[in-house]
Amino acid sequence: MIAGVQIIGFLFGLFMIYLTFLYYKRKEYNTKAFGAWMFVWVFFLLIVAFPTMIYGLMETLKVQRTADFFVMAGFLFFALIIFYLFVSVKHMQKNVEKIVRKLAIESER
Amino acid sequence: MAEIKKSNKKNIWVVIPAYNESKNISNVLKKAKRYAQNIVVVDDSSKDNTYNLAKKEGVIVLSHIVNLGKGAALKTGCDFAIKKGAKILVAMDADAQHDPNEIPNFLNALKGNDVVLGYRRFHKKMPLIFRFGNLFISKTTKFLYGLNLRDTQCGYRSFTSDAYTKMRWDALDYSMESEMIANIGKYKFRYTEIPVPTIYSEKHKGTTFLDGIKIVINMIFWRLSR
Repeated sequence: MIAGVQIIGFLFGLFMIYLTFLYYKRKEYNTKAFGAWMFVWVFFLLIVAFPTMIYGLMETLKVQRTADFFVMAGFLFFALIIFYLFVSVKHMQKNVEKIVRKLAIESER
Repeated sequence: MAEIKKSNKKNIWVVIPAYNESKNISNVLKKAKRYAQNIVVVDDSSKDNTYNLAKKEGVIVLSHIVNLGKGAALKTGCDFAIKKGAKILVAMDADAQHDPNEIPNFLNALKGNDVVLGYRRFHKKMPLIFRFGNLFISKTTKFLYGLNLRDTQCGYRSFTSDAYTKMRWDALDYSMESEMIANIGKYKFRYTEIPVPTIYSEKHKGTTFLDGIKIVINMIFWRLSR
């Protein structure tokens, strides 16, 4: 991997760790979510810093370049996140609908 | 025009979802009151004076604290009516596209049926994009559900409380009209169509092109999931 890309990746990872910590301190999510996201970013930093760590996995998956591996893993990760967000939004939408309807019906005297 | 017996009127509820309809709501309600003594308007968090104008007409007005969409507003009104003992529900729009004078025709057509669907006779005044969209959705409905309907997007409809309880839709927006049709197919309801006048008061309201695409995607999804 090119050193320049590694530096950008590393800085990005550090920035995301900072954001994860900042929003945890603001109590935007619980310790469980904080731990999960910290694991993601620390793992990301480790791979960026020591790409040789994943060479074995890349060989098994027949992926030639580290950059290709990152792109593929990124797509899978984003797909997972989008699906999770979709489910969460739908769940919240249903709850909001129920509350709004309940308030509307109950407010009629 | 058929008259409605006073004794039957108490079981008939007209449900009108409304969003920013201060221009039309008073007239629509004045006319509707001639045919139904139970009218519920659901103000879907309008930014204008819709709520107060509807209240002034002496009908029941429910208010959504946030805007949810036509499907959700209609569902709120229907749920409320059912809670109050409604046996027959008439759903109509607040934008004066649906002539309240047609209410008796809906009630007559409902005899022996579970659902009555209004259909507009398409003419040159109807925006081309609406005509094309409607035709496309009608063909999709025929293909997916085997229902040969003349107008799948007309929101002027009437149904029994039993039918409503079964076909209570999930869609929050305009796709509720298609979901209702999907449920008619699913539960094999007895249905009929009656013609209603085609009135277009505002060009930029109602189902958009993107809504149309969303409706077709949803219809495929409902077909696969049922």
